[in-house]
Amino acid sequence: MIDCMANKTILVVDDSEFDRSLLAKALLRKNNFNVIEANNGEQCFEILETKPVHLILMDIMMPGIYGTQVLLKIREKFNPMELPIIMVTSKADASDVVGSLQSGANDYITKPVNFEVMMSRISTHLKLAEISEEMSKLKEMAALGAMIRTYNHEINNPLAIAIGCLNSSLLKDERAVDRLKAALWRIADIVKKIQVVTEKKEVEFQECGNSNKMIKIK
Amino acid sequence: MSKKEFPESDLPLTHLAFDGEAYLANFSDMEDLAYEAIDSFLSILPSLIFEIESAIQSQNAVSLEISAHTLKGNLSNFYAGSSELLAWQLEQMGHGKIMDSAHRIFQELKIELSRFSNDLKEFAAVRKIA
Repeated sequence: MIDCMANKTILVVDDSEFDRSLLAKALLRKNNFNVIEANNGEQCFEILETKPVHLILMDIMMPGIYGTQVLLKIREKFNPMELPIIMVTSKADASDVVGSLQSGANDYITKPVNFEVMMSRISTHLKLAEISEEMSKLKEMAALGAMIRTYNHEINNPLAIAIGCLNSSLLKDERAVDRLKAALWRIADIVKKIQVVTEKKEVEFQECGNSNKMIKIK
Repeated sequence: MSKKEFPESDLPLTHLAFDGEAYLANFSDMEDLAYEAIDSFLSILPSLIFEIESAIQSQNAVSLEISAHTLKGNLSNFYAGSSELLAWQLEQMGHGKIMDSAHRIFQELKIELSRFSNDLKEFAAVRKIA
């Protein structure tokens, strides 16, 4: 089982020193999280530039730049699976909650913060982030495997023909030279097509026997 | 300013200055932190009150909204229903930029906060004796 809570860093963003410090201390005592504190949006951005953060707890209402604006700016760089953000709000700020969720917050907790609920929400979002990361890795590995199989399949055949032609005593034969040329051009064509596929954001797969997959390049 | 100008509050309808039982229940395995937070809050409370007073005196609605919001958030940790409600009213006045009754509400808040502080001190003192 993945211990999603171990060695994780939580960034607490709140202009109220008392609330921020209380949350930070509770996080430390409940799960020994690494806790970083920021008292405004600017500090939050600076920290994200320089330190790895696994989850953010952020107050919605802060002077200067509003929590939802900070949220939107963070989402330009990190998607909700990469960096979960839980908004902290007063019970009376229901409209702000909706706005935050629409702006990319993963979840929210209300003040007074119930520490058990907070830990449970944090655990859920850290788990989801970890599962998402594992899924991305698996997809990358699958794409890499399919790419290697594609190279093997598509290039090996014309390569074998080309080598066969080079070894042939009939190389002087015009037909053999044509076959060699065709095989080499086929390799060049395949390499070009694979390059086009790798520049795409998504790749299509096709079955190639034994439940193996290749990249669809045609 | 009539009450109709405020949105409906969903703050807890309680007249308790401080609900010690609810407060402590949230710190189930961190009682030390609960008392540490009381000391910490009592030390910053005068500056929080000063911020609100300054905003009202200078008729700065934005500053009133922010300072009252901060106090309201802090108070909610202690389940301080009556003070929280008054802080919320001040926050709404700042938000709506209608500060006619702000001074009166602030005076009521100061009285409630005084009750609240005394309750907090008493609560912490009982524990120290025990």
